[in-house]
Amino acid sequence: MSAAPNDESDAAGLRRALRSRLAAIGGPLQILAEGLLGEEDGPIDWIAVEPSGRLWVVLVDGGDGAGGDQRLLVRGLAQRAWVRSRLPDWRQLARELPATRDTPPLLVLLAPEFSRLARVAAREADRDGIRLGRYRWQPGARGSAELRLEQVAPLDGRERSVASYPPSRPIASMFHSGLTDRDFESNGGPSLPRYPEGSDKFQPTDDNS
Amino acid sequence: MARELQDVLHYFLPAPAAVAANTSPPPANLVSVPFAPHDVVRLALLWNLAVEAARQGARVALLVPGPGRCSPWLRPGAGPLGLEILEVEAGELSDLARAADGAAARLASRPGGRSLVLVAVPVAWLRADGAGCTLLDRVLLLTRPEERELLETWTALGAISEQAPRARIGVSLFGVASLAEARRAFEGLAALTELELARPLASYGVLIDDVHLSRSIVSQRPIPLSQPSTPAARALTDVASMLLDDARDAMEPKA
Repeated sequence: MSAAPNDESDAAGLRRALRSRLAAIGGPLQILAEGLLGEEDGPIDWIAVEPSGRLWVVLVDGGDGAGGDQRLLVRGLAQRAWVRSRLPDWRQLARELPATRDTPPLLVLLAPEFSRLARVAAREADRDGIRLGRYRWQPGARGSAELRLEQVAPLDGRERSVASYPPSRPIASMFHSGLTDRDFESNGGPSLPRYPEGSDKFQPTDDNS
Repeated sequence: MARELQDVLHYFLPAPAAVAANTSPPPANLVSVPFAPHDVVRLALLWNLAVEAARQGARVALLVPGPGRCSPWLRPGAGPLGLEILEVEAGELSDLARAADGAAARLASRPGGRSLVLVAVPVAWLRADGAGCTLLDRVLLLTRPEERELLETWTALGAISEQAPRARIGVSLFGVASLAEARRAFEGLAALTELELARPLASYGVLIDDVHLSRSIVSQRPIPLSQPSTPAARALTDVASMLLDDARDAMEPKA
């Protein structure tokens, strides 16, 4: 069951919970800045650094509805570029800053869900420099909602062809059908189109399902 | 007024009081079938499948989310052969699950043999809040052998596996030109599922979505009743039998 935040205080609670769980998708981290205004005064939720000195630029999906994950990716790329261009200045101003210039900052995007489109776009934009984290609320042990944060597995870069996927080893799952080839010879006409076109009669009245 | 033999049969049989005192009614089998918006073909196949299961003597309910999420021709109320079509005001998976459990209990409390509750589940809800939801214990995926459809099915398989690791997931192919094509598509999906999700995939045969299916929608007369001698009807008989056989297996006590 989902218990997503629904007001401003819940949104703040979400950020607190996420901040305490960031290590779940990358190991120990030191938070350097929170709520920084970056490119076009857009918010950067956190800037953090990992022990190796690599900087993290972390953005949280603000619940923008459909397509929010894709907008988050665009914002994230812009904000990471903003941070990267300022990193040399920051290092001069704060010599104790444990961030390295040698490795580009890691962009970390957190959202309730990432569409396949967003995952493909992230992979194409920067395979090694973008990490996606999915969060969701779930019932906790004492009835309260608990936040779970997990890293979204990266797409492997190969467009998997399920249709041509060869069973390279014997499979346990057995295909069954009581039909015969003759049932297909006497087929009563072509298969229906994927979605009937130009037929209002069959169209659902609500696309939000 | 009684409509079927099973409605009056109990008048002629010994009262099963002793048995009833010790056992609860057998659970209705609950099978979820994901569908996408505008997915009239899957809904039509599901409706015909429900009617065919009823024709084979099962007590059947078909639950669809509403209002407005399903095609308007799928009208709630009493359907052919005692089929119940229930439109559930549902905003998420748990709403559907509650209604399905209620329908299952209602069917199970009636005299008769097997029962089946088929639930049309918006595919987008598979990722939402399915964890721990009984609705995903058994899922039937209807898919075509086209690459895009198989990828969507693969995505759904992943989502269901994540939410319900112990779910029994089955696949029926439709839109195929031959049995060989259906077998290839199933085995490709099954191989991937076994390799990457470490679980088997159950086969629920092949359904035929030819012109008889569109006729059944337009005329609102299901294939098993209006065109019983067609391959489409035979395919429905085959798949419905598999679903009901599973129901029987689930109800039989384990040795």
